[in-house]
Amino acid sequence: MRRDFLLEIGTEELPPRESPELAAQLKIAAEELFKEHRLHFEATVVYYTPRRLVLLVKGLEEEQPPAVREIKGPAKRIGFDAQGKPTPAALGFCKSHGAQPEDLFVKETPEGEYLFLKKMLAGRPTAQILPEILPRLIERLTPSETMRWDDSGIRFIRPIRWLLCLFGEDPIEFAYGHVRASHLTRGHRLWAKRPLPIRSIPEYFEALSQNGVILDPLERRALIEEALRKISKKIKARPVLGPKLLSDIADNLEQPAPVLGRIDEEFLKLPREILETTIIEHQKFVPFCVGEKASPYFVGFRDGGGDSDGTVRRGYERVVKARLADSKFFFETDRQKTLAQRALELRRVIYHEKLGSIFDKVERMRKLAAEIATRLGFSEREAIDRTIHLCKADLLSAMVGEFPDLEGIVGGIYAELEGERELVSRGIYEHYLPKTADDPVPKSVTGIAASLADKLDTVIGSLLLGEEPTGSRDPFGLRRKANGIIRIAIEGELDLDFYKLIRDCERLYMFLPERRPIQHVEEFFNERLYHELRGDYKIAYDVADAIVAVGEGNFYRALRKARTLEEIRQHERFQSLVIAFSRAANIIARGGQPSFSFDPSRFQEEAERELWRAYLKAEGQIKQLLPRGDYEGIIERLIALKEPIDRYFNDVLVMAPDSFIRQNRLGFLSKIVELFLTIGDLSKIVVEGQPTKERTKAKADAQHSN
Amino acid sequence: MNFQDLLLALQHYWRSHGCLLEQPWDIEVGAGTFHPATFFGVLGPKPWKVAYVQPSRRPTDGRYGDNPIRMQFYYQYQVILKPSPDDVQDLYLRSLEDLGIDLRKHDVRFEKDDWKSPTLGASGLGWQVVLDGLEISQFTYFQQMGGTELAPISCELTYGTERIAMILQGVETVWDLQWNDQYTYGELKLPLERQGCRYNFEAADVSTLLKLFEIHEAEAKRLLSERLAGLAYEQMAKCSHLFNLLEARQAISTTERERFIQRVQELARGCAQAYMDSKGKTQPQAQGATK
Repeated sequence: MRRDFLLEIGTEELPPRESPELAAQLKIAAEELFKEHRLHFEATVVYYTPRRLVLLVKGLEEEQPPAVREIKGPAKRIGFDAQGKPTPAALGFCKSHGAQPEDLFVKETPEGEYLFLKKMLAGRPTAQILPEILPRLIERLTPSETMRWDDSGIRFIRPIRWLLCLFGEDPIEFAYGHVRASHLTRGHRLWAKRPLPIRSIPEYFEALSQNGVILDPLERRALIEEALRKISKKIKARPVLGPKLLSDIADNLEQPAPVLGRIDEEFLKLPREILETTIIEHQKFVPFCVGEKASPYFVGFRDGGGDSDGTVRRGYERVVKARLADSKFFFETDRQKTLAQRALELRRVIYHEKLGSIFDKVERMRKLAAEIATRLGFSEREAIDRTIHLCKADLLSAMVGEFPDLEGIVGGIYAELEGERELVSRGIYEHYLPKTADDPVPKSVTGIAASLADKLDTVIGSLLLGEEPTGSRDPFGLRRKANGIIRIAIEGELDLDFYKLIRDCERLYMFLPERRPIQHVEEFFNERLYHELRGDYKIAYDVADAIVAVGEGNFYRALRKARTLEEIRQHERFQSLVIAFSRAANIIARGGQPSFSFDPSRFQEEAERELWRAYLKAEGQIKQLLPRGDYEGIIERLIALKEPIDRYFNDVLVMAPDSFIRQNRLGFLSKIVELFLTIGDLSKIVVEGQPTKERTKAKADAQHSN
Repeated sequence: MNFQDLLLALQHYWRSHGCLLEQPWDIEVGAGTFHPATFFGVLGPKPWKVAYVQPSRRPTDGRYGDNPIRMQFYYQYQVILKPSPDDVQDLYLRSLEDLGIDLRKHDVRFEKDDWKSPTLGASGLGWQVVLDGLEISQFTYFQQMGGTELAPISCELTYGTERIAMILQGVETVWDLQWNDQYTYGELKLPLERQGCRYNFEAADVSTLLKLFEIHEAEAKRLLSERLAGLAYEQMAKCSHLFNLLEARQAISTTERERFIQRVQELARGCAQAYMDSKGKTQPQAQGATK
């Protein structure tokens, strides 16, 4: 027989970004715990509001099925003597489990042969097991921070105030800290002053919806979106939604009710981003726009109830006015100084105790950007330099002090108002992009150059100081910044060898008294490139491995190579090429690097000469194809080498007894291998009939993906 | 409801819920938390319920009287409930109803706002209570004070009295509040608010502030060594306010800022420690400090 099961954890208001995560944890933890205890169920669903986390288990068996468990005893050589008779150790083991020596059986384990007993575990009623495991279920939730609120020793993100627990129609009694589970829930604060008794699970859902609680976050979100659509139509303006605004609103109330308010005319003169950010960040209200202009409306969502006499609207409008007055105050204060003036004041702002002030950082960025511009042939050199000179100045503005997320954006707006060139203001505006994995990359040349220079300086500087991220700790955001550089290179199709750039720019960091070797930076980027190829660009792990293994510093080309390899890998010809290459690479690995370069006139076999001719032809062609990045063509040329290579291995003994001949052959083979590395380390590619070996690092990487 | 009646009503409400009614502390502070009735009251195991008005100074919040809700000097109403009662949220909401706020007509929200006072070595988890979009209270379960883990846990309720009065009186700016039937808040407070802003942002002499900071810091240390924790604490509060003034004058760089905070925090820790020692009960490690 099956029944539904319901657990409601009633709390004081949970932080909105926390509740979805906790609900997800509740689902996983419940499924795990129920499985551990052989409690079979059909499905689990979770809901949440700011005041409750709810677990619904559908079709939970009323009886735990019996099971047989194997209990491990002493090792066989200890449990049985030479005659195969049980020793006192084995007899004791039997006795402690109420079994007979005949019941013992031997089983192979990773530690050797052991004695085992089979134990029958009787099934128990689910209603009896639940009170034992439910406290552990709640304990398994791990909020981002915890607090105490009484002397029970329990910690959670906010106080737990009630627990409702029903198995079918029966309340399940258990305690968590000082809270005893019961059949009581609570409605919305405005609707129900008293606890509501609940007799069945359907009645629970009924009671909540009648008492002002919309349990399902998706339903609340849909209501909010619907309300915004309606209002949007009415006022003929488009809502401006920040990335998390909708969920921040929906997760922060039990019943959304829209309240439309107006913004004073005088504030509509503020730059749009500042107006919108003020309203969104401080109030979690939704601003509107008409085309490119701000609209004089906003919508806030109150929790429950209507607003028939306009009390809430007047309150919302008053606070929006006060907030915007503050932003206007900051804006007007800021405008008394130019960005150029502030740029010089950055001398007194410490960036890092060893890397100097932000002004010092900007000076390094100018040099980095100049290098980048030269290598990429950007013509707007002056605009790029001006962009970088000004791009950090807004850090000293009151506006960025108030809204740190507006860094760059405020600078861009002020630059435009000060009459800087469009290219400069755009570049400043864009130079922090991409801040997150979902952000777009900068589009303007000034933005690209400034963003690359900024991120490169942070990554190089920090890594040279040995401040690399460990585990989940990445205080300087180095992973994110390196990922950003790679994405800018790829999406901007920048044909630039970053590793060469980094090596050439090491001189900018000579002032650091103690430095890690610059290779350190390349290794870090290799990891990031692998991560990006795998994640954003969905490249198979072995192909990503093949590219990263050769230390490809041109990220744009790295992706193109990877794509080509992915396309061609299914072809049989390619697979046998991989095998041929791996053979050559293995022999070199075993034979060691040859001590001198080879001499073709010393070839002895026809197969050697044939491969040499084929090599010369292929190499010449590949040299021509490489600048164009025609990797398909390059692979075709390599495939042409397959037959001569096969014949070579058939007819030629590389590890010849004569050391001179052996060295000559190894030298030649390493030349061949080198040619192949143009496209990547093909030995990493998994082909049929070859053992799969996923790098352990690949796994570690996947775990720390961010 | 006049502003003065609102303060009276809060006094009545919390007296009826068993609070001792303290009086304001006579030293410049940024919040009611600095009052010894809170700082020392929440330390140690003894139950303690106290409420009081605390005039508060926040130099950087001044806007020369131009902002409708923001100023550098205002009146907090502070309540400490130790141990925190299970129905503390309801107690708080009923106090609003008691003031005449019909919660069905208004939008009341508990918005996550974890609180930290680095200078006091204090932290807690809780919310800002937002009424119709306006922050009207801080609601905090203290976890630490003076660097000490607390047990039992105290709940701190801090009312922004002017803002609540604005909602009750339906006025657009704090300066238009009726203090009593005769005087507005602005008539009584606006001239000094403007002077205060000029002092905080422009006229305060940085080198004097720095000197004063050193003097009070040295005095606090001397008093600690004399085992006069309660008086050392007063000197610490002076340092904390001077630090806030230095910040308003933008006289402290980011790196120096950390050092200043640490200096004040050290004094606060010293005071908390000396107080606990004088009570002869060094706190056992709070239960469940690690999960």
